[in-house]
Amino acid sequence: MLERCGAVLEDKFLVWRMKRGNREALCRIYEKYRDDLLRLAISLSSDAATAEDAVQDAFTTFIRGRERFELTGSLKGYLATCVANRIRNAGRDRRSHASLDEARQIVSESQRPDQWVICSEELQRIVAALARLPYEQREVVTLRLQGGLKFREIAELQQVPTKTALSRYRCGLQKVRSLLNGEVTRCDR
Amino acid sequence: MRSLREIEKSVAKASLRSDGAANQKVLNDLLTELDQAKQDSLSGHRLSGSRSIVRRPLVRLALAAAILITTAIVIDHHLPPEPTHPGADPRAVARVETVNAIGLNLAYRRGGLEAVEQQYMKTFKNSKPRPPRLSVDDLLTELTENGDS
Repeated sequence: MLERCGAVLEDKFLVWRMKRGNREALCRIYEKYRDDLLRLAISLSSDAATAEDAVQDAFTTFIRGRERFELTGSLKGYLATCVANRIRNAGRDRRSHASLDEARQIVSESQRPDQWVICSEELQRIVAALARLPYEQREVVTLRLQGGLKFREIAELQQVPTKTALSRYRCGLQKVRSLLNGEVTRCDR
Repeated sequence: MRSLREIEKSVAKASLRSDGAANQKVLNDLLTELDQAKQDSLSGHRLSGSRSIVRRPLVRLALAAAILITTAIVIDHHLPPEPTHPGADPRAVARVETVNAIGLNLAYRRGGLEAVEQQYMKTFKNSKPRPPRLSVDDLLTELTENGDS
């Protein structure tokens, strides 16, 4: 609890300094949340290039709108929402169900020379499993587990009741579990 | 077989590694963006500052007054000076006033307040509405008639 309060206070202080144009504060925020956001973006998009662009765009938007920005919740949650919106708007996310092999290929073999993200084996398996979910379910699972957002916040983002978001989460997680355990389930709600 | 709890942990903590050099490049781009945004906001503040000063009602009023006064001064300097009483000879005016005072004094001595009142009535009669154009002969005739009465 204390650790969480300390992190929130640190974020508030970093944002306060960043709003005044402090370069060190921006470096600290970037270093602190870069990997989390990249993981989230890759899980959502199943594409390293899209993920890299989305994370960079989210930070750029954050910098441009820093004067009007007021930190009400967690900074990570705010940035995660930015990334999710970027990926949605990019239109390059694979909403249609990509096959497990396709998804695996996306994050591993198709690595470009300028690609700066290298996923672990475990992350590759998770991304491949998440790619099999309907996008709404994938978004809820990812934003909840990797973005740290509350179900209420995710529901607002998806413009659905909180119960729907919760239901999508349970269903999506169950399916990921089945896929990772080598089972086959059907839950496309 | 992994439980849901383990799956949650795996999804949340699956590791990822990013290239240091590429990270630094992205960070440099972001820092450049920050510097640029800082410059833009500074110039924006300067502009909005001057605009906000003009937006204040008192300042606007003072500005309008200053413009009006300046315009008035400039016009006043460029116009020729106007005569105080156009067409009136100051000596003649003084003479008429003296005559009137003397006339009233004489009238009072002659017949008291009644005579003064008659003198007033005569004056009002003389200052009846005149036609827009009077010839010299008309004026002379009128003066003669007044003198006779």
